[in-house]
Amino acid sequence: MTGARCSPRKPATDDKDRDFVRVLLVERLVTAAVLIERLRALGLPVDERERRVEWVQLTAKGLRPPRRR
Amino acid sequence: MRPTSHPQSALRYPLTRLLSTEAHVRVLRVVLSSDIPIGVADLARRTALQASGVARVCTRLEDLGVIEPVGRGARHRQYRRAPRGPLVASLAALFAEERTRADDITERLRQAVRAGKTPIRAAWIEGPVAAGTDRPGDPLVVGILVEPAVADRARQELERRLLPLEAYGDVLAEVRTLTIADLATADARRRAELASALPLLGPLPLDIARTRRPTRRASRAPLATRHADRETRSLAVAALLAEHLRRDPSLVEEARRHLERRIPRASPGERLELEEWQRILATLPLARLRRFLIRDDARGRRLRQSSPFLAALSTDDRRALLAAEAGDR
Repeated sequence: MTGARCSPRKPATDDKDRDFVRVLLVERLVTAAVLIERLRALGLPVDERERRVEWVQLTAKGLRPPRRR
Repeated sequence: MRPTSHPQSALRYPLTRLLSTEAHVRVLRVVLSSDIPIGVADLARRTALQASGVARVCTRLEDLGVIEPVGRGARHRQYRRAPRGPLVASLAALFAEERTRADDITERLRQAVRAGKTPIRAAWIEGPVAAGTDRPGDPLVVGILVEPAVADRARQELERRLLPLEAYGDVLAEVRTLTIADLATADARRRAELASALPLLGPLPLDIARTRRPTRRASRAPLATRHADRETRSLAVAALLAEHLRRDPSLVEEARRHLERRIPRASPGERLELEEWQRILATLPLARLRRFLIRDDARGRRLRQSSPFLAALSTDDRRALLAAEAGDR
C-alpha cells in the first residue's frame, strides 16, 4: 500500500487499526499530511475527526528525531 | 447448586462446610489474615458482601469453631480467628500463600518490564485483573507506554519475556502498547478502562494523560511547579488515608504485611525507606500515626513517596480514595 492510495477509514479507533497506521507512519509508507487530508475528507462528526487528526499529529511528532540544542 | 443428597462427615471433612460458599471463603480470608478483631460492617466492606449476609456467615463460621466473637451485643460484635479452631493455622497459611502468589506474579511482571532493551516509559496492569473482575482464563493485560517508533519491538520483546511467567503462574499475558498520542486521544471508554490500572513502572496512564491533556501549556510549566503539584496531591491523598485509618485501624496491619512482602524485593534505596516505615508502624500509636501521615515537613514529604498505606488498601477502597482526591481538585 502506498501513501497515495491509503484511505484510513478509522485510523485511531481500535488498537489494531492504530497499530497498523502507526507502522505505516514509522515505515514512511504514508505521511501524516496525507492521512490528515483523508481524515478531513471523511464524513465523521467533528469531535471524532479532530481526535483522530490529533492522534496522527502526535504520532508523527513522536517519530520526529529530537531537536538538537 | 442443590444440596447433595449424601452429606459428608463433619468430623472427617470439616473443609466441606468451612469452604462451602464463596461468602465463607471471603470472610475467612479477611478474618484469618487479621491480627485484630473486625466488625461486621468492616467485614462487609472488605469482602464486598451485604452486612446481613456477613452476619449470617459469621454465625455459621463461629458454630464451626474457626472464628470467635469479641465484645457484647450484636450491633458492636467483632470477630477474630479462634486460635484453637480446627485447621485455622493451615487455612491462615493458605490465604497467606494466596497473597504471596499474587505478589510474586506482580513482581515478576515488574522485573520483565524493567529488563527489556527497548525503553518502556511506564507500565501497568489493566483490564479485568486490574478491575478485580477477572474470571478463570481471563488474560492478564499489561499496558506499556512507549515511543511510537519502537512500539512493535517493545511489545514483541515483552511478550517473549512474559513466557516464563505464563508457565509459572498459569496465566495468559497480553501486552497492549500505548503511545502518548494514544493516551492523549483516548475516548471515554478507554479512559474508563485505564482508570482502574495498577502501576508496575512509572506513573499511571491517566496521570500521564492528565499532565499532558491541558497539553503543551502544562508541559511548559516550570519543573518546580510540577513537583510542588505532586507534593500537594500526595499530601491530599495522605489526608484521606489518615481519615480512612480512623474508620478502619486494621489498615495498619495490612500496611505492615505489605512492607514484609515488599522489603525483600525492594532496591537498596527503597528498602531503607520501607524499613523506616516499619519502625514507624511498630512504634507510633494510631492517633500519632494519623498525624504523622500528614506532616508537611521534609521527612513527611520524603516518606510519603514510599507510603505503604495506599498499596495496603483494597482495590475498591484505593479507587474510591483516588477518585475522592481527584474530585477535590
